[in-house]
Amino acid sequence: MSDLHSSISWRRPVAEAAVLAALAALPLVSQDYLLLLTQVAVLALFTLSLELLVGQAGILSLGHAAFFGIGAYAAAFLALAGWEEPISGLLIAGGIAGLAGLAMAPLVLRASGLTQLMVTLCLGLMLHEAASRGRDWTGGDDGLSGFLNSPVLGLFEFDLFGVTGYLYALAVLGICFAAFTLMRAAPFGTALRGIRQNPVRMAALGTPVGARLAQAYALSAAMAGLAGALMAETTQSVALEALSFQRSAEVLIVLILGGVGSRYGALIGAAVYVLARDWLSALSPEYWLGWLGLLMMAVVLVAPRGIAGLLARVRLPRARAKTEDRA
Amino acid sequence: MSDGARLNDYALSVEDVSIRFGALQAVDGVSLQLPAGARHALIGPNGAGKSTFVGLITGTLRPDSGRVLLGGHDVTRTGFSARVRRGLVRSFQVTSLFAEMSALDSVLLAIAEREGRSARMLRPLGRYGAFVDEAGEILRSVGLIGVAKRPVSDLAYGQQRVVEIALALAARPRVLVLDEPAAGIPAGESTRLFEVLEGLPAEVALLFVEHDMHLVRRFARAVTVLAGGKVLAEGTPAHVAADPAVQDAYLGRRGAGLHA
Amino acid sequence: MSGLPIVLFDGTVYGMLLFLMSVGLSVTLGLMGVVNLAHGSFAAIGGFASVVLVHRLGMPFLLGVPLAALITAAIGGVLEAVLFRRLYRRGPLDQVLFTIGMVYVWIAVSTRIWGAGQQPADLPAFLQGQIALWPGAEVGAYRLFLLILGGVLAAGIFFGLERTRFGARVRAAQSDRDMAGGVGINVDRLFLLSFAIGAGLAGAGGALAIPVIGLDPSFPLKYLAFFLIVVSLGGPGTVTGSLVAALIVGIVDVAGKYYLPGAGGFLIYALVVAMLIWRPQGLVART
Repeated sequence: MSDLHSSISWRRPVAEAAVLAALAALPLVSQDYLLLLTQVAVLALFTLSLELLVGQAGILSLGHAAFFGIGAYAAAFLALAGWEEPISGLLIAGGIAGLAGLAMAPLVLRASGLTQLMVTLCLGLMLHEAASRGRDWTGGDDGLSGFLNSPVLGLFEFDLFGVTGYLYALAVLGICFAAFTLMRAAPFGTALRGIRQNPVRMAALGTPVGARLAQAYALSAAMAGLAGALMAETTQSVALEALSFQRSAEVLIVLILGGVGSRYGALIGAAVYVLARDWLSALSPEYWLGWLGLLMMAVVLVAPRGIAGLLARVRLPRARAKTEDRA
Repeated sequence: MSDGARLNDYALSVEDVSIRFGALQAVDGVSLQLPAGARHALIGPNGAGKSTFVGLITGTLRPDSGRVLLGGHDVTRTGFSARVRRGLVRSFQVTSLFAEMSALDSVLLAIAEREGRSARMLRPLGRYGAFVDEAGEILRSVGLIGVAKRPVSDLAYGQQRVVEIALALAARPRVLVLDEPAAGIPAGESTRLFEVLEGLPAEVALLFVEHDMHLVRRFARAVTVLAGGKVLAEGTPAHVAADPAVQDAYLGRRGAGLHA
Repeated sequence: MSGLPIVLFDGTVYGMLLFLMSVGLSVTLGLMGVVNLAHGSFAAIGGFASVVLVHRLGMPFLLGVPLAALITAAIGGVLEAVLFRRLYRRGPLDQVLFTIGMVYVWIAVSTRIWGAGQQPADLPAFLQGQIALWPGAEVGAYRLFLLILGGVLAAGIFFGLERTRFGARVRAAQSDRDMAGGVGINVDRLFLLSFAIGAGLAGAGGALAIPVIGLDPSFPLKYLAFFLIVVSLGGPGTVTGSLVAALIVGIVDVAGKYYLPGAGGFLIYALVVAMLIWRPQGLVART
């Protein structure tokens, strides 16, 4: 008990790498679900960016699609302009979204609670309106398509079956999840959770609270931009819907469904959401949204901390002793 | 630097500060000097302006007039958290902690902040070995080592008050302002808390707001009495206790304390 | 009539409708602290109920609309007792997930019953056509009716909150729920009643709004942002704030569409961001 130094545990990273390897080997077995799983990866990355904002820093957002859309359109613009190399395109798009986040942060961080939610909502709607009106640039309601990216690393061409797209998305998600995991345990992540729990106390420790939150906002925006760019590159198209309020609401739903503040919440939420949507819409094409709504209501009543929280309770009945995962 | 600190500067020097809220002159021309190593108590009846004065010192409030100097530097226009980084640290009257974090993580966070590492993103906080060692020392010295890894919200109130002090210590203050550190904890435990404070490095200047005159007489070497936003008396505990003006304004309501 | 007067007139009518549809949300947010994103469903329920009563069953308009509002209030009361009550002590994120889930369920249910298309609007003959306020100033008869009715309802809400014992209790519970319980106010019943009234007002708004902004199953989602804007701009829990905010939003939105059709909704969103940054607590801060 008195040894405070945390020992290095390899069990978890090894298990996570094994899951990733198994997912990467999937195309060898079956290529049926690759497009669907690519969607899961994109949504998981987008949700992870919101977890950084909501679960770690405690900033509420109903307009996060703004950054997803900026990333998606930036990637499309680059490819249309002849910059077809996908990895650099992805990074540039993420960087642009991050800068947009940095620019919007002062507006969002001035407010709190409902007001903050509304500022993010309205900023998102503004961007959506601008893109919808700027037909010459964005294609308006038709969106952008007909662009191509060159092969990943110069070797792997984006194919019709989506094998390359799937592996590419999986790799980007894996890297971002690893980076998020590091950030979460590092001083930065701990400081963000400190700000979420007690901003006045953090200021009393000498933390420049506003600057820390602005950094978190920009990072989250950049990650959302990566997700948008990933979608644009793997589907070779961008629809106006990428910037919509529905997209912002959806990602928030996925995060709460999976479990806010939990490490795997974003991944579980995205997988459950996309698979449930696919299954329900095959079962009942017209009314699947209603079944999804019932699922959401049930989760709130049965599993207040999302699916990840439910799983943790099943797996660890004595979870009170383990505090690491709650932090 | 033209305003560079000189050796004989006070750790904290408050010069003639005033602030007014609407019709209320909350603090009216108060001055206070704390040399390094001071053990200074701030007392006064309710509504005397103690909390406002603490706010002016720590930077949550800006004075209408007057100056606040920290180690000779004018910090009157410097914000709250920037003053903390200059060594002026406070604790809170009502416990203000990170409920979901352990005492260890809270103290680690305070150390990381002091060392300017709180924006680092790659190494887990628990693997900054030197920080963990130092946090262990602080928690041992305040008697919290046994519960270091429990969430703070699980601790007893008295222990939470001590976590409050541990967080302040982790910032390695040059000036430490404690706002009623013993508020809400039983008498036996408050002695323990002040023993922790007695173990502070000798050069730290300590200013504490306190109601309990026993504690003031035991630990303070100098006392400032505020009443109606002004300094009513100043001096050693015995000197202040004997001051008839203090007895009039203060003891009329608060009974036996000073004579004990 | 054209130009600025008609913009102000239409904007005010639109604002009145927004006020009716959002004021209940403002009260639930201020009183129970629930972010009820499903509030727009009550407007839709009222709308569909009036379509059934007036269009299908041939009930007179002036009877069908109040009856639709009553039905909505009853449904709201039942939902409060069965579902919403469970949300009061939950965090805002759970409330968001639950109430959006309710919207999805409602959209599916109403699509199943009424189909996905726009609903018909039946107006009695005396509310059709134009009325000359004075020579040269003609306005739509129905809009004039809405303006007058909206004003009467708003006055009724103010009277109910400021002058009745029920209103006094609502205000007491809003400022301190526990204390209100302590002085003998039945807080559960108070919540039930104010929720039902809020739902009923939204139902009336939804029924009245069909000839102006239409009705289809996705209505609660389509106008959700507008309801939230009215509530946050006005300040949660203030009826005055909601009214002022709804009128501003209505007039600015109509003016934007009239003078700057190319900008779409951009103007109104930019205005809201600016106003929220200027007054984060809302236009009328609750005391």
